[in-house]
Amino acid sequence: MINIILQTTNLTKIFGKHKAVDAVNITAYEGEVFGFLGPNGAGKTTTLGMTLGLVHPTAGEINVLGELVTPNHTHALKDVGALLGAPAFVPYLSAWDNVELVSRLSPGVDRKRIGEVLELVGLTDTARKKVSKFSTGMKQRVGLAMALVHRPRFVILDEPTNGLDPAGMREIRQLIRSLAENGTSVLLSSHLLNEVQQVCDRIAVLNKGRVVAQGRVNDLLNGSRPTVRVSVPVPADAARILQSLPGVENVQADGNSLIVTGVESPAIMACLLQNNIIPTEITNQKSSLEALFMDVTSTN
Amino acid sequence: MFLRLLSIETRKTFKHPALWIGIGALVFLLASIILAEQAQVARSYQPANGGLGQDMLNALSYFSWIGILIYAVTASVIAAFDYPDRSIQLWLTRGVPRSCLLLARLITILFFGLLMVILAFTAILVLVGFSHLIFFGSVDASDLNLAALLPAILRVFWGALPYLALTMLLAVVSRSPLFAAGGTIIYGTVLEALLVRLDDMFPAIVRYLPAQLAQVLQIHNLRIYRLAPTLPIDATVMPEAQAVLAIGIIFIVLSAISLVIFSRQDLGG
Repeated sequence: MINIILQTTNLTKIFGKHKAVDAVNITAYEGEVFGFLGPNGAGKTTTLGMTLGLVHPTAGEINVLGELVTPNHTHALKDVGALLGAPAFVPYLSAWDNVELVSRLSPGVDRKRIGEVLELVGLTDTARKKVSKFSTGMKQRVGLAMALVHRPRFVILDEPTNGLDPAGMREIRQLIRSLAENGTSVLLSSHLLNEVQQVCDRIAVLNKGRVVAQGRVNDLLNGSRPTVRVSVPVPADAARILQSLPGVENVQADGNSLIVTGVESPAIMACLLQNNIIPTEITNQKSSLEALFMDVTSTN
Repeated sequence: MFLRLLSIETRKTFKHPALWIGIGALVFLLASIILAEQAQVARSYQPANGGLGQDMLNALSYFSWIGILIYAVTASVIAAFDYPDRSIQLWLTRGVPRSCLLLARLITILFFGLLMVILAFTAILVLVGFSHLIFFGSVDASDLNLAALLPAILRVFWGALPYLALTMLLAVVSRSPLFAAGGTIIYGTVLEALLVRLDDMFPAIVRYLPAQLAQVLQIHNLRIYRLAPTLPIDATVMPEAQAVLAIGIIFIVLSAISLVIFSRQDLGG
C-alpha cells in the first residue's frame, strides 16, 4: 500500500480581499517526486508556507505524513526538510556551523553526517567560510544541506537550482532522483519546466490560487490537446481561416508560422488547401510540459 | 527539544557580532565616564571622593541609563535578528512549536541580560579600582560591602526585566531589530521620563512604571557602600517585595502578549 505523504483538503488562504489559495486539493505519495508548478503569483509559496506551518490557512486542512499540520501543531515536520524560496541561514556563521546548528534539533545527527551532507552538496572546501560571503548558488547549497542533514522522510524544495550553473543544476536533479530512489519523498516547486519534466513523477499546476491540472506527467502530456506548427506565405490570412475551423482552440502567430491548438494536422492541411493556401511546412509539436503549462494556465 | 533549542539560541547569541559590539560599547561608555570623573577629581587636587564602595555607587547610577541601551541591544539580537534574514523559518519548519521557540528566546534573553549586569558590575569594579590606582596611587576598598554585591546584581537584573520583555514584544510585532531596540531605548530614555512627570496626575500609575520600580530596588543597593547610614526607608516608598512582584507581573504580561501575537503571525514568504 502506498502511503500518502502530503494531502491538502480545500486549502484556502485569503489575505484581506485577495484569495491567494482557493480550495487546493493535492495529494503526494510516498517515494515519488511531486512537481508543483504555477506562474508567478499563483499561490505556490503560500501553499508551501501553509504546509510548513508558517502561514495560517483561512480554511481547509493539511496532512503531512499522516498528521494534521497547523502553525500551532507542527509535530509532523520533524521528519520534513525544507528549502523554501531563498535559503534561510544565520549569515554570520559558517556553512558548517549553520548545518550543525540545525542538526541539533534532531537527535542522532553527528559530525560525520554533517560532513557527508556538505560533501553531497559540494561545500566541503568552503564549509568553514561565513555564509554571508557566499554566492547565490553556494547559499542555495547551504540551504539544501540544512534541509537534508537529518535524513527527512519528506523534502520540500522550492526552486532548489536557483543561482546554480548548469553543472550544479544537473547535480541537484540527480540528487533529487537519488533521494526518491532511496525512499525519500520530494515535493519540487520550480519554474524550470524542463527540469520538472525530467525529474517528477506527478505534478500539480496551480493558477490564480486553484489547481488546474494534477496527475502523472505522462498521463497529462498524453491527454493534452494536439498542437501543430504550420508555415504559410501569408500567416494573417491563414490564421483567419483556421480560427473558423471547428475544434480549433487557439491560433498563435510565431514569425512566419502559426501554432494551432485543438486539431490534428490532416484537418489543418485540408482546410488550408480548400482555401488555396499551400503550407510550406507542417509539423506536429511534441507534447511538452511547457506546452501543457501554457495551455492550462492560459485557458484557466 | 527545549534544551536543544536553548543550546541553539545561546550559541547563536554568543556568536552574534552585535552582542560583542554592545559589550564593547558598554565597557567603553563606563570607562569614559568613570575615568573622566576620577580625572576631574584628581585635577582639582582633592583626595579621592571616597573609597571603592562610594565610587562604585556613583558609577552604578550611570549604568541605570546605559543599561537600557544594553538590554535593548541584547534582547533584539536574540529576538529580532532572524526576521529580516528569515532564519526564523529554519526552526519553525522543523517542527519547533512556536511557544517553545519564544520561551527559549525569553530564557536566553534573561540569561544574557544577567550576564550583562554581571559584566557591568565587574567592569565598574575594575574601572573604578584602576582609576583610583592611576589617579590616586592606591585603592581603598574598606568602604566596599562585598556581601551586598550579589543582591545588588540581582536587583539591577530584576529591574531590567520589563525592558527585556518590551524589546521582545517590539521584535515580535515589528519583526525589525532596529524598531525593537530603538523602541525600547526611546521608551526608556524619553517616554518614561515624560510619563514620570505625570506623577501628580496619575500617581497610582506612575509608581508602577518600570523605571520607578527599578528605583525602589536601587534604594537598597546603597548598602554596597558600607558607610551608608542604616536606611530609614521613607514610608511612601513602595516595599521592595511589592516592587519585585510588580516587575515580575509586567514581565509576564508583556511576554504573554508576545506569545499570543507570535502564535498568530503568518511567517511565510
